[in-house]
Amino acid sequence: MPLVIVILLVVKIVATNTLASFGETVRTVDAKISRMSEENELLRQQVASVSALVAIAARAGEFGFVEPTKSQMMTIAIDQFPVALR
Amino acid sequence: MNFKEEWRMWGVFGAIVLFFFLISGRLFYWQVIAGNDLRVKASAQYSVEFLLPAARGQILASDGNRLVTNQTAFLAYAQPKDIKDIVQFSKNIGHVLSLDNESLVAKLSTSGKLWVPLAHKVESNLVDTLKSLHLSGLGFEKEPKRYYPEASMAGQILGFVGSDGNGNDKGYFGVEGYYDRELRGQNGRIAIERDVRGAPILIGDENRIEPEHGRTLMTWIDRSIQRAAERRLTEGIEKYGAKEGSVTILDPKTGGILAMASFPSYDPAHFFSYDTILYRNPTVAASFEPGSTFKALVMSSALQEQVITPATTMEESGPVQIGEYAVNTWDNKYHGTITMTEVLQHSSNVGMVFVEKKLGKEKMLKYIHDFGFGEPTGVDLEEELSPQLRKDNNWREIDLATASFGQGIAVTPLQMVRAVGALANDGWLMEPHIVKEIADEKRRVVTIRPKKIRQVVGSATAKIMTEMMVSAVDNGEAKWAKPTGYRIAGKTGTAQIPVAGHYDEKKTIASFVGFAPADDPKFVMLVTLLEPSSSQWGSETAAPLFFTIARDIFSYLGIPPGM
Repeated sequence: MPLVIVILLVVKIVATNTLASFGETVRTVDAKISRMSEENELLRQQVASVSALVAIAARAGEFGFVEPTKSQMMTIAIDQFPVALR
Repeated sequence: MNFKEEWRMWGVFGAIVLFFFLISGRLFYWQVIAGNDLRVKASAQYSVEFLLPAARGQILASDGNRLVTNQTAFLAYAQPKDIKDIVQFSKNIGHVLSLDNESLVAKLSTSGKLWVPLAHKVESNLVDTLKSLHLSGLGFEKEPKRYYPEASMAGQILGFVGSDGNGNDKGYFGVEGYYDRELRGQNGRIAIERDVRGAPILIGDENRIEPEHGRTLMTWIDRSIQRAAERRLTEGIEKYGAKEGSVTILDPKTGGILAMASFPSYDPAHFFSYDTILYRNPTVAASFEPGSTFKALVMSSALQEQVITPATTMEESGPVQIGEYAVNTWDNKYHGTITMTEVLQHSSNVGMVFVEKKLGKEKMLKYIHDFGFGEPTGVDLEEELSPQLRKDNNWREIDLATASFGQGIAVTPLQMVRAVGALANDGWLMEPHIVKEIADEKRRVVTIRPKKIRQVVGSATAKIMTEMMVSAVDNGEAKWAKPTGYRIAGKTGTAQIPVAGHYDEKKTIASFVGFAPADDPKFVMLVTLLEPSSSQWGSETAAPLFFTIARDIFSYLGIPPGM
């Protein structure tokens, strides 16, 4: 019985010591989580920026795309179909 | 025991009792009176409490892309005690943060201040610049800030985030104002025990309340249609020399608002740089006299009551006399015997007085109410108002006559486009909505279902009216601007503006309302232009602008001609 008590005491002291020193690790992990969250938010912001219509239009312009003017748009009404429907 | 010894014994006993009471008193002081303070001080030494801020919810377009999201910004603050040279410090900081140098020096020199806030919501790039100056006494604290990827797009729909009386973020106007509680969320808190180095003790006490982040709002706004509407409106304002203008586009079957643009507007990221009058969205917070666009609603009411048919004829031979007033046609031209379809094509005021007389006062007022005028639409925008209608017993004969062609009655653009939307939706009046879904961080989604208010006219009447409006577009004053091959139901409007009790001859609000494709409407749209200077007529200004935007929408939605 006394031996069990001594063993348990030793285990408790070792465990407490070990866990107490984990505080530093926890702090490091917390800092990492915070950094990752910030980075995530920044990436979300960047994704939103590049997928914005303003950005897409600017990029399309750089690649030489232009918006069609009214005269460049072809609309074919039923009575203007170039081929017979039947 | 002699007297001396007895005295000494009592003396020692008395001293012990005295010390006992002194010690008891002191213990009472430490444990009861000062106990709470000491507990707080002790707790501050071994435990630390953090605020876990709730992130404000995002606002998304209908395709899931962000219209509003958050970015990390910082509160820049100074600790005057740690500043070596306040003048130099102020000069360096003021330059980067665009702060007035003198007032900054005065603020930092005020004795007794340990902590002075310098600027809120400073963006990361500026913080990096400030950090590179290596100034002692300068600190930063994280502070969330709204970010608008689409810049000023839909600014008046979205509203903005400012501060309440306690310095906390609060949404104002638009969606931010209406859904502030849902977007705001609730801050959390964590209290943990720490060791001598400040690191948390894993086996110590921890009291944690998780933050409840703000909810994300999915809107009906289609950013491609919104962009087209904004661009075309700006171009139209310039082309037609108008002072102001608006474009409102709804899905008639759900009441979902696809786009809502007005000019002038503001950029919600820099709302503080704009006149506060621009904060209110004129589409829901400003009224106008609808003019001839209102004729479509009066005509459909008369069709529903079966007092007329499209083929009913009337004699348009000259002005019609209402008491002391004479009602003319807009161009003072009279076409003799004309059908109701032609009344709409020619936009005949005289013809509309004929229709109003057929309908009668009671029915006319019933339909004005049923189409939703005189009451807010219930749209989820904070600043909505509804212009008051006259009381039913205050309508004179001339008031009813002028109302039949949309003068002497004030409506908001949203009320007007919703009412015409009923004709595109088998007669059902819908509740307009910006937000479609509300999702929390656990991805639980609440869907705001389309809400039918009432069926104002029957499905058959709506179809007949649609054909009459298609005819009004195909044969009316604006037919030259219509996209070839499409069936568009619409009506032009040119309303004079009441100024100091009378109508100004020159100043008008030009408008065009319509929906397309007429047989399966995908959108109903209202365009208004205030005081266009190139022409005062809706058929020469608002109508071509409507058709230009419609052409963009057809192309975007892949709607082929012939529909």
